Amino acid sequence: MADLFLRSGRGLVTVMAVFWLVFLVAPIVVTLASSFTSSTYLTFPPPGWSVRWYLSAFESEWVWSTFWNSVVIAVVSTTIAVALGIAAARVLARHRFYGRGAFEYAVLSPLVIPGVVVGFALLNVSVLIETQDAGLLNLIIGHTMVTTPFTLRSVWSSMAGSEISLEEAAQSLGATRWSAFWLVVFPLIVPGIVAGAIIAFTFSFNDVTISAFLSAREARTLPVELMSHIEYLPDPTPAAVSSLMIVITLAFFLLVERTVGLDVFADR
Amino acid sequence: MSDVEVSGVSKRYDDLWAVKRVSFTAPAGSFTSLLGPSGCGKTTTLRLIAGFAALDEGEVRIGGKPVDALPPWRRNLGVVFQNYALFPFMTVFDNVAFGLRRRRVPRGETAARVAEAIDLVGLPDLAGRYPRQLSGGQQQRVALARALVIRPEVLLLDEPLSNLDAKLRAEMRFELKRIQRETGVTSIFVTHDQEEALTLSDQIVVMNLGTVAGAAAPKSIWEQPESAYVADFLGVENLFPGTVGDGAEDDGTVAVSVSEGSVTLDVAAARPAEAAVVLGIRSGDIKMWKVDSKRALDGPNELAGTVREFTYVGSAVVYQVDCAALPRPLIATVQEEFAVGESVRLHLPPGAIKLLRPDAPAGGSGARP
Amino acid sequence: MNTGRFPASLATPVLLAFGIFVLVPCVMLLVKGLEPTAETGEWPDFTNVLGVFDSKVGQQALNRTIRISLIVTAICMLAGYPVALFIARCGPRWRGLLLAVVIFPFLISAVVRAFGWTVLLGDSGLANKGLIALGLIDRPITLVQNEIGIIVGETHLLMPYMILSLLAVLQRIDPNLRHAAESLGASPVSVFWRIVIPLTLPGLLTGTLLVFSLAMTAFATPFLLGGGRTPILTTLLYDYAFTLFDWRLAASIGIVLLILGILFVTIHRFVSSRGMRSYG
Repeated sequence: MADLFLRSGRGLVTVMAVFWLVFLVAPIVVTLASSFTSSTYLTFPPPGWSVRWYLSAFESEWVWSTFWNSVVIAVVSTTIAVALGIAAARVLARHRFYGRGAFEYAVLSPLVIPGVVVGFALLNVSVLIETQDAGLLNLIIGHTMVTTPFTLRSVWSSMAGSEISLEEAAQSLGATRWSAFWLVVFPLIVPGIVAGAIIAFTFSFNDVTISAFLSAREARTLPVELMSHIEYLPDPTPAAVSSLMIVITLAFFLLVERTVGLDVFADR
Repeated sequence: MSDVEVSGVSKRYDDLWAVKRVSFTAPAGSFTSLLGPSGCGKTTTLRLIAGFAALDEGEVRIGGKPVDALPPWRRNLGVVFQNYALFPFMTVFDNVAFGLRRRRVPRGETAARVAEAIDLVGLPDLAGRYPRQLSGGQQQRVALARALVIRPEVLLLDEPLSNLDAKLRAEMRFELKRIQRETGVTSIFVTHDQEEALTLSDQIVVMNLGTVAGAAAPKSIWEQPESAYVADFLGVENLFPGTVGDGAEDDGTVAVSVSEGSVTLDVAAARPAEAAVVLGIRSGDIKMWKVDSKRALDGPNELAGTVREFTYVGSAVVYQVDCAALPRPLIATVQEEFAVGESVRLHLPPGAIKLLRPDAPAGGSGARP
Repeated sequence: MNTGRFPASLATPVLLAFGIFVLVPCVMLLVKGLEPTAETGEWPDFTNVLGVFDSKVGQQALNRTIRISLIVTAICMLAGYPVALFIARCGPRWRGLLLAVVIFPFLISAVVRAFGWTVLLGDSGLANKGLIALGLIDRPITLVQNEIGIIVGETHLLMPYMILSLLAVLQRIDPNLRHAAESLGASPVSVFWRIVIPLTLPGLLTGTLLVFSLAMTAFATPFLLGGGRTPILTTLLYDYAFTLFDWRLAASIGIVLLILGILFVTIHRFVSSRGMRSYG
């Protein structure tokens, strides 16, 4: 009797789990599938298959211009976020000083402050100092601040694995503080830096919230532009663009999975 | 080779004195152990000598030159860490060559000196391996080779044997002794293991709560520890506070009454009357017979007791014996066998009892945070 | 570990960046939101911030935000638990794959997800077709551009947080606890209720707090799936900023959201440090 109860309990758990796992992948699968539709309007499942909407996407001027904007913003903001993240991780991993808690709180604050608030607050300041038309610059600043906590966490946790005695050993053998860092610590935190950079890039590339506030007329990101096309264009070109974004994200996701493992996401 | 003079060195972490006015000298070519329980400041002292932490007071001289203004990379010291601290992404060869490369030693000489160092520690054929492919004992040897290849003025060892199992530890002890004798390098060795300190050292510095509790050669520190703390740390099982009675006896002994006990013991030592002392006797120095034994005594200091518990340790039996005359049970190690509850006669030879300085109550110092 | 001295050369650039681009903008937001409404008023004027709770629009948006967040949190709890249990029970190979299935969606852009849901939940979408086929409804019902759309989208957005919080505690349970309980005569069922469930409560609690706070402050998903007639606090802020151009009111909502964000993180820290202490 208890055995039956146990087995039916387990079966119920399995059924529910499978349902919700399907729920999690459903919109992705549907987007991918409907992008290959042969019809001029969106239905699922599609009546027939074709790649015409991908060709349409590649021929669209708005796709290319906003795609390059997104890439430039993501590359520059990721680079700065990695540099800030390494410096901040070093401070937190190796130093004890009065106000260390406040420092940590400051650097992680973009995780505390809602994205809308970050976006609107930066927009508010840029209007005050009349730089609201420098969209690219504003977007880079916004994305850098929001992604630095990710690079910090990733680099910080990889530093925790490198013992301070390694640095001391290097120093006792004649390496200066600086060369001990580059020769001994840096090689050990490369996986953390790579993982942090990929997460930051993915976040920046896919972000809607910050970008919705800071995109100026001629500096829109791909997701923001895509947003307006979903509203106004009834044809399935946005489905193709969405699918391409899924593929790009998947590539980075697999890169993280292959290089440092998925555990970097687990403490989020 | 250089001597190391540590004079009046103090280090404070926030409000806590990790090390307070520590002084000792490690003569050139000698092997000195810093011995004490965890938190006694021994590792901090080593780190101050190495330059990993800045001292707040005092001075460290190596070969007569003060080094306190020098960063670690300018001190030319070899350091072996408790966890070995081998660079995980470098081969054994690259680990050992690291210090030589920082010194811009020519390539050919580097290869020769690395090979020599790897040979010295007994690890030929492993130069191409990575640390994770080595056993604990092998990693230990690589760490030693890496520290020695730079021909340091002083070799600093921070509990290097504590991560090894018992058998390997005994083996590495001999290796360490051999390598130190062959290289003749001045060595300072941090340990909490009294046996390691006794077997390896020319000099033992016992530390307690950030201060030096006693410093002497192993034999003299074993036979006549300075204070009750040192005696306790060196394994003197029976320690009883007492007071010296008035008037020395003719035979060069004094009578000491045990505090909270009802017995006066004769001790072969000279102390002024009324002096507060601690009586110490090793369990192996106590003699023990059955209560009806006809055997005559060698001298005074006989006590009656009852066996409370025993543990068999192979070469002997360790007994815990209740004595009415003493505030706490005595620990006695003898060959003969007795049963629990059996009444026994105990003899504490006057020559085997040590009169120790009671320790001043500790204050103002403490563990490293 | 270096003690005492402030690592100025490393910390200064970081602090400058965060000071100029996070702290200053937040302070300016406070200045803006507390500007006097009347000509003669003095700074700070809390009328607008309080007005968020007072006005009809603000009140409705606030109620809707809380209602949606509560529903989403409840669904995430009920759905996240079996998923986490299932993944924890799987062998390492499957666990890796399923973990990927959980984590990957939350890297995908909100626009893309919203697009997928729009297709799925539309009048001729799979969801409506399925409901009709099951005989639950006769003709398509509206599932997007309303609260249902927001709830579905936010559940999809936030469920991974719940699953990962639960998995973190589930995987830390010492298998010996289970064996100990079994050796003491507990059946698998009572092991589950008396050992596994109590040990996962800290994870459930942190996951719940995380999901609720993120639901309260989510923007992109409700913006894309909610339509214009169902504003919540964040989308109302956007409307004030870009449609009505009332930045003082927008800033006031921003202040409320900022306070909410700080409040939840403070509670979260307090709870998780307590959780560590009692189960560490």
